[in-house]
Amino acid sequence: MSPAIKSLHRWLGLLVGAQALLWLLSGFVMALLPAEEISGARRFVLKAPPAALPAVTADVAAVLARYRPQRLRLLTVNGQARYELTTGDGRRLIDANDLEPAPLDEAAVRALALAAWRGVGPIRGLRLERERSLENRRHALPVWRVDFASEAEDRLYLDGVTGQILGAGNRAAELFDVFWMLHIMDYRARTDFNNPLVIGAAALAVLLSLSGAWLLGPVLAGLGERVRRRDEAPISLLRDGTVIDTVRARGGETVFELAERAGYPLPSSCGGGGSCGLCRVQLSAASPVGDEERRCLSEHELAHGWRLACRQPVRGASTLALPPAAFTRRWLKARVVAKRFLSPSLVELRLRLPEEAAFAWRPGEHVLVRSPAFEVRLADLGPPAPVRAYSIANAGDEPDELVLLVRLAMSSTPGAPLGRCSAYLASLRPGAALPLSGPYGNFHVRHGHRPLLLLGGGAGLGPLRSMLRDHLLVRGDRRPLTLWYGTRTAADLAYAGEFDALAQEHGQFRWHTVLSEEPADSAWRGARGLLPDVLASVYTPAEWQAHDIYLCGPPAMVAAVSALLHAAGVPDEQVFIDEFN
Amino acid sequence: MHARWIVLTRRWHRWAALVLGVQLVLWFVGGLVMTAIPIEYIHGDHLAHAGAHVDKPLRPQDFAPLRAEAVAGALSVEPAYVQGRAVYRVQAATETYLLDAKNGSRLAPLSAEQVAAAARAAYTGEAPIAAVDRLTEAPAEAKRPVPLWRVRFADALSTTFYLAPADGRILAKRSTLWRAFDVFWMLHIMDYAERSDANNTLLRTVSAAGLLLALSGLVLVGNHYLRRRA
Repeated sequence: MSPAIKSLHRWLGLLVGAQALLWLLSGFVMALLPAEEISGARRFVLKAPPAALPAVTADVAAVLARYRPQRLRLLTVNGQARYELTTGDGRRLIDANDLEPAPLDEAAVRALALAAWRGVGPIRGLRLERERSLENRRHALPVWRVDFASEAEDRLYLDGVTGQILGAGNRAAELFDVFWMLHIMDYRARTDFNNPLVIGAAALAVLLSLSGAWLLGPVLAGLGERVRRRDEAPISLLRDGTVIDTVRARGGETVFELAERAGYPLPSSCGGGGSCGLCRVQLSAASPVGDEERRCLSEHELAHGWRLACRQPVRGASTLALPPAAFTRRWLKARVVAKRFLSPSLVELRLRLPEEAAFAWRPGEHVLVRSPAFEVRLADLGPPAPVRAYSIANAGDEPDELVLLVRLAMSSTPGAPLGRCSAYLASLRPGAALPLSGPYGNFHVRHGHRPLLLLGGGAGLGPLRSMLRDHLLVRGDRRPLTLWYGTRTAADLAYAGEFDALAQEHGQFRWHTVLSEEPADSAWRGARGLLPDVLASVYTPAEWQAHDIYLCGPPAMVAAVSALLHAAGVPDEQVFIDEFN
Repeated sequence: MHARWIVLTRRWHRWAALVLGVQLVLWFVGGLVMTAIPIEYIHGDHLAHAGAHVDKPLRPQDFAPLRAEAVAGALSVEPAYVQGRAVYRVQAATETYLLDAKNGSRLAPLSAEQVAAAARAAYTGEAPIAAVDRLTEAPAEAKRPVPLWRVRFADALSTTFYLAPADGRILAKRSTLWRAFDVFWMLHIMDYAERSDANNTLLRTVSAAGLLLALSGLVLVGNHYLRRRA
């Protein structure tokens, strides 16, 4: 339920987030602008009581007979008794004594405006407006507009017939009006707040806020937890089994937050949101499993206690094993020194790290690579995926360089574009910069006495190559080591010459290739078929059980081999898996 | 953006939402209610006949000349017909009253029955009148000059008219819709006492914090869709 609500919350944020921001911004600005400034009341007397009528005998019947008005009103205009009469043609002003038309002249308007003016500055101009405009929209036409040469650009609106003061304006009011427009989303007339656009946006915003409130449930629960369990037992932080720090957990805190607070931030590109899957840690296998973890981690990993730190509350644990990633948080700028195609779909990138980086990795670990989104062609911009994990394919015999294998992610749909990141990496030339961080991972060769079996497919060859070169060239380990590599055709074979040479030189190393799509009439003399099927026919359960097995490749292959090993009764602690998505 | 900043942004978004959440829901729900109900219904235009105040043509023979002393101190005078009778409606500084247009004598204010009849004539509904009260203090929902007549109808929306004592003109129309709008407006501008001061410190503070909440939300959404997982 919760991930669906979260996804809804995000989508709504995408849809109406910008308008919600505008609502809060405009609301804030309107709350900030003082009402008496906006109305003009600071520098105009807007509500003066009207003057009492001068002594006059009003022969109303005569006016009615002469002008036949629909409405008639006797009032004082600029000190004179006047009739305001309304006919089908509009309104007019009549002298109350001689009953002749007596329209308001500019001098009278000027006098009325100056009488109301309390600010500094002379009248700059005045005009009678008969056309509707954005600014005079609140007043009945015609209307006199009198502008003052003041700092705030004050202006006064008077009734075009009677000279009655209707309202004022200034620069702040203009600003207010723009924010009002943004607030009610009526971009033309700025008056209609019952328009379908604002109603629809408000409805979505209601859903946005309610889905957000729903998501606060666990936060509130965590808060309760925090209050209830103020004094948590101290937790020991472990690095490779050694206690390096002790930190007191706060109630309701997640493992991710704890590590961050303790100064060992875990890798993350979503900042603890449960969506990037990078902050994995190994906890007790009994730890609860959430939907996000089911999505980001394999069954095998879950069974071994791997969890996302940002989903796991620190609860009752006394130790926490931090992954190596927690100690390498920097992004390093690597440089491409060489690039070559090992096969039509596999690129070997050779990188050099800055000397001060002191970068040391265990064979089998990976780095995160960032392909800068803005160096991708504009036409390619969709939802970019700039951070990706690549296994390191070389070992400590070349300590100054990193080798990454980039498999060009080709869709099975003909004509579909290459994967964004792999295409970017394949396009790099010697000298190009590439930001990376690491090393990360828990896929590395453990100490032991059993012979080793390395099983891999696709770009999974990378970490296995690193392991076998480390085994043979760096540590000179005498344990037998056998590599099984599955790929599609002979043309996809990589490092064949290198592996043959190593096998000749080191008696404990042997290697085999299995091709799944090699044409039946080709010169290939080795095994054909899918790697799991071939393996099933080669090893007996007893032989399987005699090995430590390292498995690395695409999900389907990993799943099939895992099933095979499980059926053969190989204990879990002899199997190490790195699954490539 | 660096993951560290995203962590801080996410934390701010959560805590701010925890503190401001109720007000944000109220803003959005109130905004929806206030925009979705047409303003004419809030004003109650549908409750009274539009033509209730349009007078019949003013006939010269109905209006005798008005002597100056009869309107001494008045601000304006208007010839009109009230319940069929020709009158001068006089607007003075503190009150409105009627003069008989024939002889200039001042007319007594309308009786409760006359006010009820005026309200009845304007009312577009069928419901009976529930109460007629003469108010000497303006109620919060209709700040109009007093004294003032209040006529309540026994309908579903609790329609209430406020009428002028001199001539029975409708000065304000109120209904449940108007009252609900007023409550949402109060919640919207966070002035719980007067419901009119949109410059209060509470509103300024909470809207500024809400602005940062929305901003952090946009940053998180942007981060999510621009930097998807590897």
